[in-house]
Amino acid sequence: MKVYSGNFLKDVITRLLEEGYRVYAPVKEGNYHVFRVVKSADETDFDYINTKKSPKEVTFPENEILIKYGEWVEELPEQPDRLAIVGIRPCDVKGIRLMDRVFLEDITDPYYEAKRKNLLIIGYACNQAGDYCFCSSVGIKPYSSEGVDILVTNLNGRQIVEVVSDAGKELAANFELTDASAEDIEAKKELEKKVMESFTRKVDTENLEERMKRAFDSDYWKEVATNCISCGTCTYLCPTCFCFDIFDDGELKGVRIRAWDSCQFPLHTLESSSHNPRPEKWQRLRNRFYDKFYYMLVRKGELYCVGCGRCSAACPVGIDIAEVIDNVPSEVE
Amino acid sequence: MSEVINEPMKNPYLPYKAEIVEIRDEVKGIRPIKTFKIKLIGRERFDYQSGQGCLVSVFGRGESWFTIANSPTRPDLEFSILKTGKVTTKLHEMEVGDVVGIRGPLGRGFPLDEWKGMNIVTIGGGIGQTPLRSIYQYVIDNEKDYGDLTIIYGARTSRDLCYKDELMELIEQGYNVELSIDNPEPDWPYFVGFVPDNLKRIKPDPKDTIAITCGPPIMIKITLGVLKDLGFKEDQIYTTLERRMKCGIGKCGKCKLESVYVCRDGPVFRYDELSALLEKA
Amino acid sequence: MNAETLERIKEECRKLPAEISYIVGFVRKQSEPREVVAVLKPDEVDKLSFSPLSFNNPARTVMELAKDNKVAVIAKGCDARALKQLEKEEKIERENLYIIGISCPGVIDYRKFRNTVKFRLAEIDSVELIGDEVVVKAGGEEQRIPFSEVIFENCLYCEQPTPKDYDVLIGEPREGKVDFSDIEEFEKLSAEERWSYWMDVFSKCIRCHACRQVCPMCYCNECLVDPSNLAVSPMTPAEEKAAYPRVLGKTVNAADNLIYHIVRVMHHAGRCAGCGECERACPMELPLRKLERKLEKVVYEVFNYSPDEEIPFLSKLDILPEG
Repeated sequence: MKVYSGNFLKDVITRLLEEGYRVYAPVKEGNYHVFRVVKSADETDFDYINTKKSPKEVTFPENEILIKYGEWVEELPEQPDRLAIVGIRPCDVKGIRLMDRVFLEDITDPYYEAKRKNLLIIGYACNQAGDYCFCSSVGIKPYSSEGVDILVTNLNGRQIVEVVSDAGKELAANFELTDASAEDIEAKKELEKKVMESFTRKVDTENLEERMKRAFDSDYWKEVATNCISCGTCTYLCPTCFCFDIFDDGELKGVRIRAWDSCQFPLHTLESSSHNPRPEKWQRLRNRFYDKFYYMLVRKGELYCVGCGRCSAACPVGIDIAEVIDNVPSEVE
Repeated sequence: MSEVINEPMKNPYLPYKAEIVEIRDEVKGIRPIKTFKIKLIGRERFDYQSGQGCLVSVFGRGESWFTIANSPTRPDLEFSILKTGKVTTKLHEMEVGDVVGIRGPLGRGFPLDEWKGMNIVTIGGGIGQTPLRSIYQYVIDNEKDYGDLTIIYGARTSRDLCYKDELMELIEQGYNVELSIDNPEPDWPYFVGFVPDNLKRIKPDPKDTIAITCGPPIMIKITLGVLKDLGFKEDQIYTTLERRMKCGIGKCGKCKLESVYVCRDGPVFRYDELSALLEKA
Repeated sequence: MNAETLERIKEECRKLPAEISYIVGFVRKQSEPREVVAVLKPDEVDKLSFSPLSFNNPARTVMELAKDNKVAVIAKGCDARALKQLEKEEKIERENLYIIGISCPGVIDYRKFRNTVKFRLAEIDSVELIGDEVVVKAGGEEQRIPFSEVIFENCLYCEQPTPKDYDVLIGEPREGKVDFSDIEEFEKLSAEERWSYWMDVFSKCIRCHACRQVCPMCYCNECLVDPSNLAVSPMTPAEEKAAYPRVLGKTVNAADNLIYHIVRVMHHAGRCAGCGECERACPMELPLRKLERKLEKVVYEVFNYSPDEEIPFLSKLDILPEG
């Protein structure tokens, strides 16, 4: 563990830009923060709990051209820009790792891989849980350094820098870092304890797989979906939602584009025979909860929710994923 | 379960160039079905398993999933396509020589290796006969590896039967083909009634037998009941599922059913696998 | 909007006519003071809640429910206006409604509230509007915030704070006003400035369609800009499905987003209830009310029409002026 006396996050951005990286960093826009490509560290602002949109757009953009067609098909040349994301929270880092398991396992998605293998991750530990955060309930520590190249923590006016990977080590060599003192290490432990106590939301994930299995046909899901408007906001902001659509734009000549889609949209599963496996909104809403807390658990062995709370904060009608899962009935009447 | 045979495509979203070499009318009318024979341009046809499918690209319109209608022991790729939407309408307007894109082979096919030595019963309805054709062509081409073959197939009317000429030829050659239509027609020598009723009449023996059924959902539901009454266990019955498919490689989530991707873990499924799922197919 | 208002609401709900099957009101969310729309049975009156955080518009829920049931609804001014629009468009039968009108002083902007309140949301016990102060109680502590600091900006221009059509009214009637001063200010900017403002706004849109889904007026099954629900059946011919017009695909950029928003808002001419659900729903916090209010201003000034009139706007356009 090292200490940096300046603002490591901003200084590392300056360094990465000098080295020719395309840097994604949090920028304040209006009332909230989002990750944007920055040209200078001055554009950035790190005073936030978490960004409005998740940083999944860095490796999985909302629109992406797959192929061009005309005479025949043209594959687009890979853009081997070196990418870096600075200031990403541990929950979102876990989100990236969960997305890796979808896009890189089994058949490799070359578009995702091209961005991911060149991605440098500078994480930013949390000092306080947000009002909607519940990462601690889904097995994530808000100060975790898993999956990052370097993790930065604000501590008493300085920044603690934990160098995790070789790429991180190479980068960190450009900075004056002193070893953390025994007091610093103690103070960090205290901070970690404080963060864990700052959660106001807990989700009971004990025996979750069994509970979900038994509750599948319960009317509970109809109640939960009473106000749902199938808007898709939850899926668009979620760091681990990855449903997409592929469509052609251009009759004789054009591009084939992949775009974010949502299992909440009625058209998502509509077949050309006009049969729709999930015609009712409560079935679609139930599908989202099950996909994250049961189907992916069965398929990949991991919960596909990182507890960032963005969906609950943004839901126009107040459907709250933490409340919903916590209240899943253990016995079906 | 047998593994998926998949020739590694460097970019699984990039289609192969292919040409339509033959178009055959199967069913005419307002819901026409045509069988397209397609040849890959500039490369050999890939190896695949019966039951696997391809995403056929019509540039400007999109892609549609079709099960490969011929057995891998037969040449080229055949697809039987019902005109039902954007992509298929354009396909039906195409002519021999037109170019399309093919992405494949995709999905998990029928475990024909595992079925060696067994009797095979295929029960199809309407256009559901397509994946079954891939099975019985393979079985016919590898006769000594399999037991008895029974092909049970029906459609609403005699004009709605696919592969009619082929099936009539098989009957002439002595194969056990049981055809049916829903309502009586003059000069129809075979069974009149629904496919499950025909199945009830034929009463195939479940001993050492595999049954595969494809067709409209209601037909499959009733057929399943009949098979169970005849003594078939769920691990002896196979089917193919249909879903809206886009990526074909188990990522985009459109075809996801509970924890399985129909395009990747299917479209072939054994019945006990489906019964174990929370969300019903 | 305080404990007294809630008591009066519960009182009225206990004396509902016998044929009412459901009450559409508000209940407090579990882990935060925000209120959400709830469908309750007439014997569940005690579950009801009401506060300046009961900002959602129940009109959408009522539209679904009132098809086959008689429903009591707790409606603020703008909510009642939305219901009236739906009645005019024959989406709701008035006889199926029992409107408990609330004379509304304005609702709290939850975003501003979260930035101003000093407590963690889960700690808050109650939020009331007493006089012109918002009184927030948490544990044994209290915080008083001037209402002007957290009021939803849309409410400053409210045309109908008190429902005009109701079965029972709670609260003293208030005067609405027609005030487009904010739009007039904006119109003073040059065309380039306004264009650049809106393109900047639309570059942030992620086309989640929350604005459309939450709006009571956007009930079309086949939406022009993006079919949220394609009305197809097994009988629909293939050619029809093939030729279905797609005004927009899923390409997300400022220009396409502009088309989406402008086309959507145009369809609200003379119909918008002014509830502000669109702006509240937007995850990227886009100033959507500005667009709607500009259109309201045009409808008001050029066509001399108010959404409170008995006939729909488009019908009025068919009536030729005298002389």
